[in-house]
Amino acid sequence: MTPPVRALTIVLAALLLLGGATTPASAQKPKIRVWLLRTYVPDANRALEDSIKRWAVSKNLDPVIEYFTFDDIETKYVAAIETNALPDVGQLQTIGPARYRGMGKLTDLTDLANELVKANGPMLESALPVVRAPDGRFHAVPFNYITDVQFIRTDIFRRAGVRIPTTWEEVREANRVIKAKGVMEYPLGQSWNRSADGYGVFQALLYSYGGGWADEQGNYKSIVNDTWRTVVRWASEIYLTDKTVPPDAMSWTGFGNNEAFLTGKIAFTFNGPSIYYVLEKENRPILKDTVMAVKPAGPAGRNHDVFLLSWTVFNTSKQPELARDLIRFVMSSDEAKKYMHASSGQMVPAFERLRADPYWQKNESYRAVLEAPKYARTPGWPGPLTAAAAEVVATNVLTDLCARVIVDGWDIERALAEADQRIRDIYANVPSR
Amino acid sequence: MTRPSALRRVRVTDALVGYLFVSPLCVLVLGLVAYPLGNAVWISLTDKYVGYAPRFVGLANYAALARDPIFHKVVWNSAVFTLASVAVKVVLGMLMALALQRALLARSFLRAVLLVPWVIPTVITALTWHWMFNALWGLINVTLQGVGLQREPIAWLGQPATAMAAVITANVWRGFPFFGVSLLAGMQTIPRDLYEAAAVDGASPAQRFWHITLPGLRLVLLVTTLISLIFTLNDFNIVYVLTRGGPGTATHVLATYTYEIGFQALRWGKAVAVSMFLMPVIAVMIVIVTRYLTREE
Amino acid sequence: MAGRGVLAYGFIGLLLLVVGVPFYWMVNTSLKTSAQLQSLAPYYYPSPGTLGNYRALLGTTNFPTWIRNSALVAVGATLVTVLVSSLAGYSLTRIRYPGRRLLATTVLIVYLVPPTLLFIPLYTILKRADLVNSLWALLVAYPTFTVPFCTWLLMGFFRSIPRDLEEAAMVDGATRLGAFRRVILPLTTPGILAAALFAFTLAWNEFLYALVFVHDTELKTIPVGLNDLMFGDIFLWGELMAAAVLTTLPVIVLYTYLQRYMVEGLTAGAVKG
Repeated sequence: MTPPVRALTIVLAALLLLGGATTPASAQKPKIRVWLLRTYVPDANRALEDSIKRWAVSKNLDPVIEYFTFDDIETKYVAAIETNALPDVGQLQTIGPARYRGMGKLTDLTDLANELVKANGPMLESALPVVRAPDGRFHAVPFNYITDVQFIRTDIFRRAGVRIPTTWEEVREANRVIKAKGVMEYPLGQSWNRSADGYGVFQALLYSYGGGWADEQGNYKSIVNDTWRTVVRWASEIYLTDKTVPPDAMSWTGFGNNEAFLTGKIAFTFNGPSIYYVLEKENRPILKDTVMAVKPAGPAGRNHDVFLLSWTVFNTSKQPELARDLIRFVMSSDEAKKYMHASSGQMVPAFERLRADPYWQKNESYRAVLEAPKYARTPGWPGPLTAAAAEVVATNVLTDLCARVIVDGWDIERALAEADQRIRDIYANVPSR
Repeated sequence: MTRPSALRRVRVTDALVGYLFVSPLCVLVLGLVAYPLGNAVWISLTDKYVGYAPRFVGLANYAALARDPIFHKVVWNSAVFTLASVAVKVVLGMLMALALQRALLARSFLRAVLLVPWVIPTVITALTWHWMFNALWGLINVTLQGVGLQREPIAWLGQPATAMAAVITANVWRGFPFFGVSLLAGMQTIPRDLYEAAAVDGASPAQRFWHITLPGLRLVLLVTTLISLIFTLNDFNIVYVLTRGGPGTATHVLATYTYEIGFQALRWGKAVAVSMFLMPVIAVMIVIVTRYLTREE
Repeated sequence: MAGRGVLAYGFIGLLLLVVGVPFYWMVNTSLKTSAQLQSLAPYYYPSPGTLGNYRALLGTTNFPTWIRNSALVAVGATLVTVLVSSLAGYSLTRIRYPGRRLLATTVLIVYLVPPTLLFIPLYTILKRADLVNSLWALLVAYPTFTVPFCTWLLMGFFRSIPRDLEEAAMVDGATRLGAFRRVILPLTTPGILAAALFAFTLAWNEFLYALVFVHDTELKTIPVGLNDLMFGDIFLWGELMAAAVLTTLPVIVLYTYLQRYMVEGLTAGAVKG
């Protein structure tokens, strides 16, 4: 053997020996597979894992916990569905139950839902459209919200002499004043990008003005009307007229506004509580000048977007009873409280008695995070959350609409017509077999 | 007659050896890829939605794509992105190979160091460029404003033209070492005495490059360029991480579009149809180049 | 002569700058805490620098395991790829037999559809072979896209060599395989090394198959593992950049070593036609 080939063989052999098996060792106990979202709060992840492991020990089972992230949840679930490799228990994002129950992949969890209500109190109204089907059956049970709120740099607002906004118009005005008084060049960090920061906030804006693309039965409704014109004008004028938004914000991906706020480049943004998590955890200087508040109201009230994680048992599970029991245990009062106290205020419960815990009264920001989910509306509001509504959001129709006006320079009528056509096409081709 | 039959026997044995050598490739492709490929063609003719059984719809997906203005934009973006990136990579790679060939000092080290962009995990490369291009705190703007060359922040990723330039830049940065290494390897197989003879004849470096290097490199350059074209056409990470296809649809390319349709809209049939749409173009390129590579002397 | 040498080194210097600036940025970021990164000052250098990100990466994440898995799969896939594609590339360009041209064209049809859309039927095949959730699944799956590309690349190299070389050897009594090993291979070593590098980095960087075919946390490869450092809108920048530095340097060292022994050693003098 020539020297390099010999060296390579040695390296390979070493790696193999060092690594041990290339296949996982088989366990003696029967397994149960659980898919969890890896959140950015390691303590919370650990608390949940701990709960699951304790339960598994008591049932003499081997828990196989696999994580997905915010970014690869779609990929993993699509792959699992198509290759028939779904786990026993899985966490789903907001549109998950509506999509997967139509495919027949979920089991009926109505009894479990009722038990949890008995244990933890009633669910928030806003959770019902996510986990409950129009026929009244539950195919998922709520886990936690990760609520979207508004972040305010109180020192900047004070310096400009503006108050914390409570309506969308006040948001615009406050940022205009901050810029006009020279306090900050680009204070408003709102991107209409291909992420929840974009299409989530757009829905909050839209629904607060009473707009929607579906009627109360969930059928497509034309979007070419004045409500939508007003909404798109709000969305585009902050860029084109007010110029209060950083010039490259339209290309921000998920972390863009986080970084902008944390580096002190913006004074206002909509986001989940993750920004506050970083500020608290690392005791950053701007923590004392940062406050979270419930998102603004529009003429139709406070109707916002929603991020609700739920639990489900997949119908391919060979041990559905055990799977349900796992959820029952993890969502029992004691276990749920342990999780809550490890969550650094990031994940908000959906059940009344858990929400009443003094943990959430820590300060006004925590109280805002607790209150915000009350105003959550599901995609397709005022109609039910359907696969078609989920697809409208998932294909970025809403943010593309804004981009057409802001980036491509289209006039609002033309952009609305295109979006309207896209939504109509989606609703016309919904799978139903 | 012993000589003709002996010759024929040698030729037959030779042919058998030829089949033997190429058999692992055939087994791999036919065994592992033929079924998935056939499956993909079939799925593109159905309305397959993730989680539901597929139903045959003929060419409906293709017809819908042909009508879709966003798909048109995606194809245009992909063409611009791919052709521009590959063109720059060819030039940069060629210059890199020429320079490395001449540089004898620390050549191995230099060659390895210039590989760094190729080796770094692509997602991190994309994230780094995303940071550098940021309008408010990115390296480029901070430096430009720091030395006084620019007062207003340039929204690199916020305008369609500069966003496209940005993704091309990141792709070129990542990809040019591949060309450099391949072309350098190609140059090393050109017989040195050709250069010596040309030097004796008084040929200039430019003439030597044009008449010896380039023809000698012709096949390697051709193959490397086409491989890069196909890879760049399918590049997902760089565009997704830098712009997600934005702003708007300014940098939306085939890979990000397929991802959106397949994994987010769950319309699998349509997603496969998007890829198959370009099949004729790629097939023609493959046929032309392969025939050129395997033609008789 | 000297003038052109200066030009060459000058251009290399330029390339080093082009390569170096973003890489410096990664190193710079890897030596800062997230608080330092977001305070924006100092900007161009870490002050004070910290090894905390490296410690966190090596200590709290499964990073060493990811490297081990990626190395195993990448090296394995590269060896398979180089073997299969050099034999195939040689056969398709330098041996004559019926059906050669048809074969050459049709085995490259795999290019037509990107791996993202092939993974579902490929998973079915792997499941039937009971390879799912083991690194063997990747060792089998990766050659499906590395082999055709490397075959094509090597066909370009093999075709560039004058035909009479191995025929001279065979007239002297060598077998086809012998001529291949002793005459052709040494001449195309630079090309084979290029193909090996290509296959290696493809396997090293591959994400989708590694995410979908392998579930076990102990079997994650680097690209999948890096996912664990990104949480939607919270990214562990320092650790991500530390990972970049730590995954790049070994490959560069390995390549320098291979370059020196394989190319310099074996091709010295061999190019004299």
